[in-house]
Amino acid sequence: MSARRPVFEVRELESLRAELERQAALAAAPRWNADPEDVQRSVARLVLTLVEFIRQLLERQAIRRMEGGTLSPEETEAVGVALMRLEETVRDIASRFGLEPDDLNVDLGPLGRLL
Amino acid sequence: MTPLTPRVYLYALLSGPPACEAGIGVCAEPLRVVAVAGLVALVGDVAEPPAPTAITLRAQDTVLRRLSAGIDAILPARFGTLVENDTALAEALDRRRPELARALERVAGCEQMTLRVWGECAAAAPHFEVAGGGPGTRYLAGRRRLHERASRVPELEPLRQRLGDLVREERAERHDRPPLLATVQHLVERGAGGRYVDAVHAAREAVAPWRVSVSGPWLPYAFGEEAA
Repeated sequence: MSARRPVFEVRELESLRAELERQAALAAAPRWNADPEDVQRSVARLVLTLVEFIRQLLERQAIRRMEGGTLSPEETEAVGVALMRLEETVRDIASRFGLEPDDLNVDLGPLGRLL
Repeated sequence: MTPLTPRVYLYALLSGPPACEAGIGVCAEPLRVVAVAGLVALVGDVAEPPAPTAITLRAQDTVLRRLSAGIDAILPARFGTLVENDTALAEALDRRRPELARALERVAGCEQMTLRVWGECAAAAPHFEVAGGGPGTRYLAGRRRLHERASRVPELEPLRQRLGDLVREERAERHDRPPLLATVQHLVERGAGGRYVDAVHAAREAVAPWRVSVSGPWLPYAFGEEAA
């Protein structure tokens, strides 16, 4: 059975293609390149991915505590500023290595992607 | 050069042996149905996994659709899932048997319908008020909204009311890259696809200014993350 034939605009199809290409690139197996410059970039990518992973864990915990009312307004502000600056720092270092936010991830095989 | 040792390519987990011959797989290899770790797996022996192209993706879907006709539940594996041998497969499945069994139970008798939401801008997210917030507090509140939005597609609320009991489960992913705003996968009872499509078309005006396209039925690809 097939759904009624849908009508798409070219822009919509291009948008869908771009999204599928983005997801396919994310799912591609990471490759190790022996080029010295790329080794530095690969290590930076791995380290920043781990930092970003920890940052997101802390962020979710902070949001849970904010929702639960177990953080005072001062604590909420302090944690928020710290997480915001950490995110800025991660993005800044990533950009120096030509890494986009989507690059900061690791495929854990059967467990899926880290982030 | 020594030939590559064949490895085991996992196609899907099944609720039981298929009613028809297993046939051949994407790499023209004979398919095997093996009972491992209390589960039934559809596998083939290949030297290399097939390249992820439109042709091989469609071919794998065709293989699975043919076999799904006579069985209650099929949980497609992630395309390209390869293990060393049957022993490694049994070990991998055994470690995750409870969640895999639950996932098979969830998709039993079901198929997947896919909605894509199009528009120039997303619906406004519900606002989370934070009294006396400085930049750090506003940052956290913003991140909270972002997490909420990641799993919600408010643009579809008028349609959800019309779909009602047709939908057993939902998976949503926001893209927010106009005009593509979100992809929503629904698990529906097998054979309910026609009613589902009718409901989507009937809700077109109610969903405006957003536009919704529907495709399916598919195998429950979006509901087999446990088998990935």
